[in-house]
Amino acid sequence: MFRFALRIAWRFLKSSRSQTLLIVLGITAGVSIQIFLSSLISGLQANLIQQTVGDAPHIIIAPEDRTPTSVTPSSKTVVVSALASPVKEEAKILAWQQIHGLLLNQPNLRVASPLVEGSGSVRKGELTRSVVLKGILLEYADQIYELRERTTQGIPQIGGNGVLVGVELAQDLRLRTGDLLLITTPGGKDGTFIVNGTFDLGNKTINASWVFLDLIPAQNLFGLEGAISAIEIQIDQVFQSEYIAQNLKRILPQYTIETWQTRNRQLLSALRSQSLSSFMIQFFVLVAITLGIASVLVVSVTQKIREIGILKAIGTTNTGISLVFLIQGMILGLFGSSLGALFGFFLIRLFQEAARASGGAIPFSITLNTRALVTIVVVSTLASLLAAISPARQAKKLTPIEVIRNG
Amino acid sequence: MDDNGLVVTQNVNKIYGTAVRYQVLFNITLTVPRGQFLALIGPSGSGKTTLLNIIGALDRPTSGAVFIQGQNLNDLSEEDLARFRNKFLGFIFQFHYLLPEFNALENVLIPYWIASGRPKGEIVDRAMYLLERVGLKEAAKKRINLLSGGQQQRVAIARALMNFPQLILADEPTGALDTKTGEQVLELLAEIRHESNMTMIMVTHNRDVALQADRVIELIDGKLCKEVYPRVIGIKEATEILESHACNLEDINTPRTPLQEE
Ligand SMILES: Nc1ncnc2c1ncn2[C@@H]1O[C@H](COP(=O)(O)OP(=O)(O)OP(=O)(O)O)[C@@H](O)[C@H]1O
Ligand SMILES: [Mg+2]
Repeated sequence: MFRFALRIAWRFLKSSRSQTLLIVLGITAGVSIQIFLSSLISGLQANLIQQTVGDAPHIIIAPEDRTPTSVTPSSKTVVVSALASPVKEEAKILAWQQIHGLLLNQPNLRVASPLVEGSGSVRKGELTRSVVLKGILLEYADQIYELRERTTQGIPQIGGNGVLVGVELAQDLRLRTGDLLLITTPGGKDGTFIVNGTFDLGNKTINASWVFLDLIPAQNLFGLEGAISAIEIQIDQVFQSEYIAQNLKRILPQYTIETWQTRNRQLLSALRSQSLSSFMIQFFVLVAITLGIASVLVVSVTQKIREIGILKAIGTTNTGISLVFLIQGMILGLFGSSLGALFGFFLIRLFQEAARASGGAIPFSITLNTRALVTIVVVSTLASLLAAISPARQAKKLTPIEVIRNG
Repeated sequence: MDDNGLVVTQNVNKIYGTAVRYQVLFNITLTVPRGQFLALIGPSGSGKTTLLNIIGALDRPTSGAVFIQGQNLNDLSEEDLARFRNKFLGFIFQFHYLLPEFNALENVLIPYWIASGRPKGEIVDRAMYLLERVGLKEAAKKRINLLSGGQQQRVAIARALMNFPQLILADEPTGALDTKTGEQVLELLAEIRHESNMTMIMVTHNRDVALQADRVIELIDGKLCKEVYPRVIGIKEATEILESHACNLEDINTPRTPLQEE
């Protein structure tokens, strides 16, 4: 019966060619817009997230009562006063090597970087600036902050008494590679360091206040004696952070585990409303497609009353005749959405070319989201099937004698 | 089973309308034995088409029953009736009612498709044979719209024969054709009937056509009025009976179950 219905459905569609073509084009347009839009939005969002957390820790492990002070390079509103409070005595991770080793063995973690952090002041000659001191192990921290690539002057080295300073800070203090500077902490300790280079992390506040130094001198400056103040983590899939954080909490119950999401609520809610509006647009495109197919098929039932009557008279069952129209909806949906997928793919390629040719004017590119593509094609086809239900029912209701009687 | 006739109608009544009830058929009780060629005649509006549609399972009687090969059609669901029409019946309508989306050969194959899907080679051969039989071998691949009325009706005949039907129902098969084409179509039907000894009920307005049948029944105002067997009593006498104004079937028309006539 399916075979028969398919055959009739196909012929019906073929016989009203322009009608069929128009609706297929309509579906194609709708589906390609859906695919392009969803890829554009996800590309845009991926880019925003990359900008936000690409070179910042995704998860931070800190002692229970430590106020989060970490600044992400792109948070434009840094409250410097929050950084000024000294690291409290109890706010430290003691057996950090053990935890660090544990973390390095966790799956899904890209890097775990120990951090000694606190405020301090830097003096060179007559000039003094208050700064954020970041004691790190370069081989780990580099994987988060990409310091090697972002060193604008000098060499990215911090062994011994070497430090890396932000470009703005270097300007303020007229620092050059090889210059000596004095670092003092609120605890009253100080030390002389040598500027190995300057870095640009793409954020003015950070460039004006951050100083990277090696973990051990940092520990000495803050009197931490082998302890650290936090472990910063980057993971492979940024959106797995909450899940991974939960797992970490189970392993390390005595620490607070903070994710990038908690520090970027505004961005996330903006992304969410963007996703929602994109979803709304897609939904209404889908509704338009469904209504379009439904109207075409309803008209087709009236056009084919005669044929339906004949087919029923010579023995087509109600199920069979319903199937004829359901299959028509299905064919329209499949063809339209497949063409739409192709065309959407083409639009994406076009955008990629434009982004490439723009030389950075379009700061991001988009890639085809295969899962979205499959979803859209499947949902559109299902919607087409749905659209065919009412026409199918109409065809089912038709009695052959009405047709035969009225010629 | 066939002792009772291939087609048996028992006290078939048909009433149209619910608010204004309009009775079209009154207690039609009729037996058509296998192999018979029955012509149904009667004035316009007398209920011939209605009766034929009820026998053909396209319509249901308001009361009474139709048995075909002993099967009470009242016992069948809509879907069963559709399958029944496909399997047992061949319809030839006044208007040719082919599907314009398909060519002649495909139209002949449709009854097979409905039942069984992809036709095997031998099935296509049969369809071709039928087209050849109705003289349209060359037109097999032609679009329906390119065929003349007579050719279309002949395709419809081939289609009606496709599934080896037990019973052919024809409602004024020549009504839409000119006299000459009509005669050719009737000749064709006669030939096919002779070849296969098929049972056929044909509604016609043409008395000469009717007189070629084994049996002629005239309906008047929804009631059986006259019945003649031209081959038994001869054309001349049959004509006389049909031309007279008196019914010869009063006995059949008197209600057997008084309850059914209000
Ligand atoms: N669906 C319907 N509703 C109401 N009345 C109907 C309906 N179908 C048929 N009739 C009436 O039933 C009567 C019999 O109709 P039918 O078509 O059976 O007559 P007929 O003998 O075939 O006539 P003709 O020779 O003109 O074809 C007519 O008066 C017709 O108007
Ligand atoms: Mg009629």
